[in-house]
Amino acid sequence: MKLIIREYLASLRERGELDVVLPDLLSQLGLTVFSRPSRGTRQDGVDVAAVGAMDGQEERVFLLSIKPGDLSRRDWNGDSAQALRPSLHEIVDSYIPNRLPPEHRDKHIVICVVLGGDVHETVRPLLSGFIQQNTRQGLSFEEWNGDKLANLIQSSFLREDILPGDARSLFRKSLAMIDEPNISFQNFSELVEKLASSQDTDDRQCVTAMRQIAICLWIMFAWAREAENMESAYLSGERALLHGWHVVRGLGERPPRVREQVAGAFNSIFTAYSHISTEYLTKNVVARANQLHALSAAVAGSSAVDISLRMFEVLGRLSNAGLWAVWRASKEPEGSTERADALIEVGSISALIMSVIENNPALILPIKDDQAIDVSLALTLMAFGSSNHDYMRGWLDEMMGRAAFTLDTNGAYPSVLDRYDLLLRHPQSKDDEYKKNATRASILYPIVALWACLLEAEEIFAGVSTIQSSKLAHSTFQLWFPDASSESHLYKNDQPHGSVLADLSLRTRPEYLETIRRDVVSSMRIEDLSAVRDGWWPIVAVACRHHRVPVPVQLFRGVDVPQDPAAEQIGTPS
Amino acid sequence: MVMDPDIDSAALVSELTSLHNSRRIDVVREFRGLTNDGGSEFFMVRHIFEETLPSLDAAVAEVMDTVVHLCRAGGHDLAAGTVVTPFIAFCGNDSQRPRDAIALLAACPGDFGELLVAIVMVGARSEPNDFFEHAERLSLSGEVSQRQRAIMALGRLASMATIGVQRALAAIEAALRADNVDEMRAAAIKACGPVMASSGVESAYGTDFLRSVVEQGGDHTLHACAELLWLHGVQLPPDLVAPVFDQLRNVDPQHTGTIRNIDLAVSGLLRSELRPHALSLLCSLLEAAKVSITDLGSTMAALSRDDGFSALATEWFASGRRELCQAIGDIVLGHHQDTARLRFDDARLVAAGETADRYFIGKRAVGFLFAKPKATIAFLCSLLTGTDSDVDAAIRHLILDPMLLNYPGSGREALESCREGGGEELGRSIDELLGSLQEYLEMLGGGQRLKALEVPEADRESYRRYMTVTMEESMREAEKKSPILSLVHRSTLLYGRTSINYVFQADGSSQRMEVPMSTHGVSVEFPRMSNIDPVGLNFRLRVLRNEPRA
Repeated sequence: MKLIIREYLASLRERGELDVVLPDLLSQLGLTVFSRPSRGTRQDGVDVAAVGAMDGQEERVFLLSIKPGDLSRRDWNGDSAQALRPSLHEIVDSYIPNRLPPEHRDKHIVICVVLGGDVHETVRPLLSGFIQQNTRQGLSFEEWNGDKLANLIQSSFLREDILPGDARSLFRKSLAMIDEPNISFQNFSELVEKLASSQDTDDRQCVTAMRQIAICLWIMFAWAREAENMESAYLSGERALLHGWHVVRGLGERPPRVREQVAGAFNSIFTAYSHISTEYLTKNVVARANQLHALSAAVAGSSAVDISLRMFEVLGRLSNAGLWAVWRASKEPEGSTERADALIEVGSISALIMSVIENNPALILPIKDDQAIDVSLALTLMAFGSSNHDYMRGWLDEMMGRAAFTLDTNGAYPSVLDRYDLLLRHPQSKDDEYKKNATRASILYPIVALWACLLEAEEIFAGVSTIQSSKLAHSTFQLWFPDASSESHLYKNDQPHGSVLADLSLRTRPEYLETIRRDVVSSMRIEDLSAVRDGWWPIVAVACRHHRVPVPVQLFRGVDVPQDPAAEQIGTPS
Repeated sequence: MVMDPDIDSAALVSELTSLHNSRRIDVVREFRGLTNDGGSEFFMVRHIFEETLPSLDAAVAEVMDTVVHLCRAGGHDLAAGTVVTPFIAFCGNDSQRPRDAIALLAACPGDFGELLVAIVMVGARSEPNDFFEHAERLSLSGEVSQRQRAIMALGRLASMATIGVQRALAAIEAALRADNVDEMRAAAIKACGPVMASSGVESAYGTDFLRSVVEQGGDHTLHACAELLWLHGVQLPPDLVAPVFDQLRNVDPQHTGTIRNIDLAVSGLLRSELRPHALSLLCSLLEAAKVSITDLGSTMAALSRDDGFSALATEWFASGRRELCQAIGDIVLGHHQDTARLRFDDARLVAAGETADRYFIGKRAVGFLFAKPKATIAFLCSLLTGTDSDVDAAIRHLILDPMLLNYPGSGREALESCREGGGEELGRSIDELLGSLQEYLEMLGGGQRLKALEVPEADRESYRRYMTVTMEESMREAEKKSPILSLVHRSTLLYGRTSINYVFQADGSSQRMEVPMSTHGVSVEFPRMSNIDPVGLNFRLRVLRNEPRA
């Protein structure tokens, strides 16, 4: 296990990775963290500050200066703003005299040089010399290299008594099988399930479990990045985030300190998830998004089904990344640089999605009805930019054109078939009975019809309406709404939940909108989902994508259709 | 009755004849018990009877009984009627036998009808007028089937100098006047056609008579016309050609026997003076959607080898008619090798005073030949003239997309082979196209793997299982249709590289034979878009096949 952790530490490349883990590690060691890493530069050389007793010694102050990877001559005293020697000087000369909280000034101070890897031999004399020169009464230095950190992580998070043998085995398997993402994810998923179930136990175990999930996810991320295969890490990140939220939302009765510590661990999970998502999309999607067929070709699939399944996965993931950017923008104050940056990212991801659709025609028509979930997420994101609306109309128009064409010609029309082997054979037969069975229900057409209403695309609505009346009259057109049971099961998907507005008729646009509006008004408010209520609404989108649950229509935001009151109610941001 | 293959059949025939003629056995009666269980043994055993029959001393009635039984037991096999020839020989050995036979037949036409023509023919050798009159009489009364046979017999007698064509035709006409039904007309055509075609007699009366029969039509009549065209088409009198071809345009597509005859006729006439008539008939049958070219296997094969195939393909693509274009596609797919020289050739269009719309022809070619990339690209390259830059650019774009983007491997090979013998201008176009293809392939990522996007191993395994099952099913279906596999014994060898067999010699010794095993494989390049954009590809091909001329 130590080797696994050591490998993970050595692979961390950025400050944003190692310093996210350390506060949890210190807390788990019994220290109180009073300064956490923040964006931008360090606080006079200090990345993390904590106070407390370690190894049975007196209470001391630990000031951590973090350097990911090995310490080379360049990292010691180079031009970089992150060079270690200037940082140590800043701690001694500025942080200790000026920023150290007054209540800790009489305590012994330990300046910790935290390295993900090791000190290069050429730098060793320089570091030793610096330490000798600056060590004095009440101030000492410690080197926390990868080996020491690995020991600390193992002893605090993953030791036998707090991470049982079967959980350790699941974790090892999830790492070993990274190139078989489904198996790897299955093991990680079981691990998360096992750890997250500790929420019902005592406060300390609950906090420890969340931190364990976080550190395991970080380790998974590092290993996946090294293996250049982020698939399992992506799915694991989603699963960890959703289980994490499920724990966070149920902490109402716990003491504030526990809630705070669990929230800290959840933030660590979220940061890991964000890193994973970025890494996945950057390495796999961005570079090829603008090249004709490049992403489809990268699937190296044997059939059109492979490409369709993968492309809609990519579409859903890109869309969720965009929705998180929307969320970030909404958190920042008007006029701030951070908000502007986030909005630029929203625009970039929307443009990327359009490019991916343009260059990968498999995305024009789903082969599985539940790929409507990914379509919904993409539309929800693109709807935030009014300049995207024409593109959205064009996409939906072509989608319905192809749907009608495949239904007429017995091509690969969207079906409710779920098993891969059945999809490979689809359509197995031209007879009516088969077609009726394969299209016995749908969320795709009602969702497209709804978006046609929201986008005022009368022709598209008419097209879907014709498909329903002339080809799919037997099909149960439906929309899903969360209900009172959804809050308990949406994040873990451990039971069916929500309610379905079935047998929708697409005869006329006003009638259709009125039917949906009536149900939106009478069903559970989307704000009653804890993720929306507490300001983490993209988690609902993650849950929908990950657990293949339809996106609630209340999330279809960003479209402004003021002249249609019914549409306005559906599209109102929560 | 079991046939031992090692028995000397000549000795057996001699022994049987001797035993029968000495009344120790009754060969005729024994063979009446021979039944056909579906294997080849029935015909092997019956052959012994056929060899024996001419030398037998037996009652005509019993022989006729056995011959008819063996004939009927042969079913629809092409060899079913071979037993009639030795019967003719049997009758020919005694002048009384034909007389007895015709008397028996007249008494029981239902029992011995199959032998009518044979009896008349053998009887007419010695008593032509008597047997002509027998046939004439039989053609005027009785069941239709008997009258048909009588007409056939009259037709056969027409070639005898003592009877003559004129007299035979008059008798046939009289039979038709008595009952002018479709079956009788068919019999008349079958009887008279060969006479008219092979006797070299320029008989205006005969031609007029036959034309009037043909023009009345009818399913049986058309069947007979198709057979006439197949067997004697080239020799038909000129005045008869047009009516026969015209009538065949009315064929009912359900009548597969007639269609088969038309197929054999058209394929045979493609290299004759009647080629224009044959192609015209083919065209109208295809255009009327009465048949698909795949129903006409011999014609497909003949056209695929035909020197004028390129000109025909160009003409049919230029017509834009879906059925004709589909026929070209089917011929290329079924018979034409990818490397064969299908080229743009507007000879037929020029002859018809039409101008070729090269871009339109190119689009139709892509639409219908798409599954044969080498043939398609070769055809498209031949459309590049270097004289009209807009049309050339449009055709080059067709070569790139959809052809090269779908078939980068065989497409590249096809282009390289087109370069050989092409001009400088074509060479430049090919360089440009290969450059565009290379650019596209490089854009795909240059072979760098993105493991996170790749298909999971479990799905790959499912796909392999799916393909295995599909291929096994296809193999079984193909084996069911194989004419060879039903004839041979099948052995499954689990190990080794050669198969050892012992071949037995006439002297009883055996010789060891080692047959080395070889592999047989076919490689097919699937269009890339069938995975990347199957719906788009399907739609585009349909557009290329159906869009009207601009």
